[in-house]
Amino acid sequence: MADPASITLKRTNSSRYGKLRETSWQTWVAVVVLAITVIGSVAAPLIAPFDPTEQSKDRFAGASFEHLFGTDELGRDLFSRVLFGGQLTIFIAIGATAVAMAIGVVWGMLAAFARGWADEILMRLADTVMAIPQMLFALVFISAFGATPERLALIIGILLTPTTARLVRSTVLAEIQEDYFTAAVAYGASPRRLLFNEVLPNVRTPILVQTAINAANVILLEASMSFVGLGIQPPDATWGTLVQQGYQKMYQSFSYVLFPALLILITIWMLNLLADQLGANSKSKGRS
Amino acid sequence: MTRFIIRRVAISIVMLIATSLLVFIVLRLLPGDPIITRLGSTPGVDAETIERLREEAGLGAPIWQQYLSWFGGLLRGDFGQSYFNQFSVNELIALRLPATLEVTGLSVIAAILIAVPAAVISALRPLGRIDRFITATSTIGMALPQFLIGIVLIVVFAVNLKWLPARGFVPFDEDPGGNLIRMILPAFTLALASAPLIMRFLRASMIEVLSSPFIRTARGKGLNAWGVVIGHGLRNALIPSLTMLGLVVGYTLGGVVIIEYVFGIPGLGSLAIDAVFKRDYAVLQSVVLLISAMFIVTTLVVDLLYGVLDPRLRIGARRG
Amino acid sequence: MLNRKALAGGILAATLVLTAGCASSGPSEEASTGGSITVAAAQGIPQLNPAIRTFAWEEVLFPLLWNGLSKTNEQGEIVPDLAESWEATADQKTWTFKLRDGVTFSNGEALTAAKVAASFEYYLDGETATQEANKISMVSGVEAIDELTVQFTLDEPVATFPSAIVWVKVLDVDSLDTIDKDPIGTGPFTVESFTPDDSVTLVRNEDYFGDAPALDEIVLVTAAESTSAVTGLRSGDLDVLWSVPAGDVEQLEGEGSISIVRPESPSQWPSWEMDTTSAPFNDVHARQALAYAIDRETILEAAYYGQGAVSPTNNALSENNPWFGGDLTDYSYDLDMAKKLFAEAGVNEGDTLVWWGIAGAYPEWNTSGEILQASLKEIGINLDIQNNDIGTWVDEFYPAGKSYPGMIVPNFQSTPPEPAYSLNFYLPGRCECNWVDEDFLSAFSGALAEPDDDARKAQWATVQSVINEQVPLIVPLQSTVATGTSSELSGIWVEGGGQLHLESATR
Repeated sequence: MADPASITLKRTNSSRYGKLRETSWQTWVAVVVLAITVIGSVAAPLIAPFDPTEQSKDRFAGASFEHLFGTDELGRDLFSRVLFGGQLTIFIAIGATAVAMAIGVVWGMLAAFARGWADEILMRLADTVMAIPQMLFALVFISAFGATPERLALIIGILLTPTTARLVRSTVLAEIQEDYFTAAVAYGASPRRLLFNEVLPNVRTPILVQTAINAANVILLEASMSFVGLGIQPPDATWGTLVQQGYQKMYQSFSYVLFPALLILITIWMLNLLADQLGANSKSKGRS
Repeated sequence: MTRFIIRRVAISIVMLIATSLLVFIVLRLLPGDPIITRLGSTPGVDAETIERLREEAGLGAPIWQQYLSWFGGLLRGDFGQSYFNQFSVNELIALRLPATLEVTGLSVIAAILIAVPAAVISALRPLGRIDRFITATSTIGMALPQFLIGIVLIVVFAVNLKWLPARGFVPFDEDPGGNLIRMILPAFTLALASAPLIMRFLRASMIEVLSSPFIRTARGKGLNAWGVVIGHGLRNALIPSLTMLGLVVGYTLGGVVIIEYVFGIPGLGSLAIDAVFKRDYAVLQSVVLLISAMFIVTTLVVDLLYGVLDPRLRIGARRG
Repeated sequence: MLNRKALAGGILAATLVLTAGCASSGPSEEASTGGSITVAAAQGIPQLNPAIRTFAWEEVLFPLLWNGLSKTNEQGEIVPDLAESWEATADQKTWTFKLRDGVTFSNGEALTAAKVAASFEYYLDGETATQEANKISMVSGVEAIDELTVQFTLDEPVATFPSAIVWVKVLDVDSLDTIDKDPIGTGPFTVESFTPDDSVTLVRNEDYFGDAPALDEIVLVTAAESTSAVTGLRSGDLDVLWSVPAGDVEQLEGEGSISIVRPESPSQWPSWEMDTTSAPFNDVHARQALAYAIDRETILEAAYYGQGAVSPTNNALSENNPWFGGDLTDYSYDLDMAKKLFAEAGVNEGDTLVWWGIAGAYPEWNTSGEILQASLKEIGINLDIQNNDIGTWVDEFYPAGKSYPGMIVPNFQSTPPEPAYSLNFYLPGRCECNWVDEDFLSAFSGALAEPDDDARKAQWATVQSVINEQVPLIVPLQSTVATGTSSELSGIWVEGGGQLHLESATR
């Protein structure tokens, strides 16, 4: 039973450039902002005015021309720390999303194609993992294995896998119901052809949407975990650990918590916006 | 119908058992144990005494044995004993459950009160000005991590305006007024986090329903607009929204952990966090299982209701 | 008519304002009885047995629910508590305590010497894993001579015995297995309700033998999140916040509605531990090198916000401690010396050491670690900061006897100013630094046995000289535990080690 909020996309004949012309201004805004964020973080070594670990006596300075975001408890420039923090945050976001998509897509497709018992077991397994409170799950794993950027990416990725699997499965199932698929099967198309030529192109968009949503959730989860103290180790920082440190020292310097928090908000917002727009585009095509 | 119910319940039970196993194993991955953490600040205790205390606590037995004895206890309703004090896990849960239920309940109600009207108004005129405003706001709302919403509310209402307390909990029977005032910020935080999700889902469902043929028929029959919307539109959009509600309760339960930490609420979430740090296995296993069970049961109930409300499902059609 | 009324009203109003102004300018002369206060700390209280004492914050209950034979007063002196008086034989090995008459437990039973003896036997029992074991390990026998007299026989002479037993509380041994549900004590308060790790509600004990406490009720709560705790203190939601985060102290001092209470002579000291039995810290040069590499001034400023005093000689005792002394090297920040000594110990450029801290708690450790990291980087040594949750942290180096090469573990000790119970941390089996030194041990037991103050001071000086030269631990400074209270409250004081005393609190 397809639920109304899911996206059903039918193959259309519009050309590639047609799609581009139809892209809304919101999508462009989201893409541009995200691009700036990513490029800014990747180029941190070039842009940052200070070494993010350079300590000074000028502690808890407010925002100024020299220190755009002020300084922290050890006199380090917060703008530089935020830029480098972006590197790690984005690394974790990409890593975790990759893990979630890689495992989730395979899982979901297996379930959708397998049907019957195998499908039931795979999905109930997903439900079981989803039932465990995410924060506690993450807490336990990080306590057990330590919080390096790689492990965080892996753990958060695993946390997001079940929801991805569910989505992929329901999308693929919907495609399998379609006439064109039945026709292809009747044709005698091989499983490979079925997968790559029939199903995959049509589920491309929902999967892209899920990718964006997953990336947003990664940033959210990483920030939450850092907030209770289990983020990455100093002197490295992510936006999440900067928010945690900043909140503890909120009475000493408000800009400390403000800027990383704003960046988290903007990034997640843009990712959600992108997900919305991608979904909306396909929706308008699919409906009669 | 009965087959359907039995099948779903049976599956849920299997899931609960699987969850308990998963939780149990995962916890044993943690380095350290309750004895070491308990004695961590007690110098002069030698390794022998620690071994002996471990044995006494039953931590020396092989893992499968420990699991079976815990699980057996669960079946009898005995959740075990804390390693840190003389309280049984049942007692600890009983002390903490009310706070979590209250926060979760209030926040779900608040979320519905925010989301439903917003969804209805949006759905009446899709892509109109109000709709776009509400959708935009909800997009931003969804972009804020729960703890950030909490922090912002604390900064605004507790630190600056000083209208509401930043933290704390008083039991309802002791001081109803004090209890409710302290619930406002945390419940609102959770509500603001989940309301956008409910709103979007409900709105999408309603738009789809409102544009469907049978609604047009109803309007054609002469029923006034509001009657149609509320009577038919909402009711039909509610069916898939039930699934959403199930997910939202689950999402809120997940967020409850961090919100209890931020606002100092003595609920199951903070009980669990404490237990992780102290390695109080007995408490942690049972609490995590309990929270998972709450989620599984909610999903079960939603599924059953879904089955009841939508006759199409009962015919054993393929589940979507 | 109107004017007269207005005038009268004005005079009345002015009088009220003036009196109100007088009342709120400070604690009134006549302290009122009654009232309830809410006291918060970042830690929780998981259990109530004082012998077991899981976390330091549980000590706040000690003076409220229990009594020992002796206690510490606000000036740091050892004074009678349940015992009226005591005396020792000349060899300092037999101690006799005379108990007060008429003291009752909260279950109505009378305090007798037999109960005291039973309580001590519980503490002495090997099965009871108690903090105090070390301080009373030399007690070979405790006997009730008559109804109100208890006698202790010691294996070794201990001149400071009354201060050793300050925290051995007299418990009702028969009800120990329900102590968390229904604790029986002799103290000024009793427990009305207890939610582990969340709150303890105490009410006044009307049958208390000593000075009746002024307050009706004390509610102890856990405020894990530090910023909301400080917000609660500022808004008046919380009356007392123990161990205010160092960074917030300055701002709170500026607020009229809040007072900061500090100990008279601070004796809480960060103790950064190393394993002296494994590389590279098994070489004294490496330890001395590390001592020179600590930028104590910056750490005090940036990590502890100036709340404390540096210890340039790496001494656990603060410089104004009456027992401070010895032939001490100054380890003030000197990276060249550090580099030289490290090289002698085989620690060269490119080598890595590990800072093994706790995640999410004790921000001052994290900042200290980052400062040390920057210092070591200047001489080419890497400091890898690893913060884990408390269970993982503790497992690596505890109990004493574990090997953890190349690691520096931040920790802290809260001790009384008395060297016998602060420097005793260095003893083998107690210190996770695994340090065994004959000179230290003989000087230490010599000091314990010495009844004459001057001679003892000389002994302690020797002890400190040995510690200073051998550097088994890094002690960068002494820190002051600041407690924030509403300025309406008085009578609250803090011991050197940070233990909070609420028994004389009044509004």
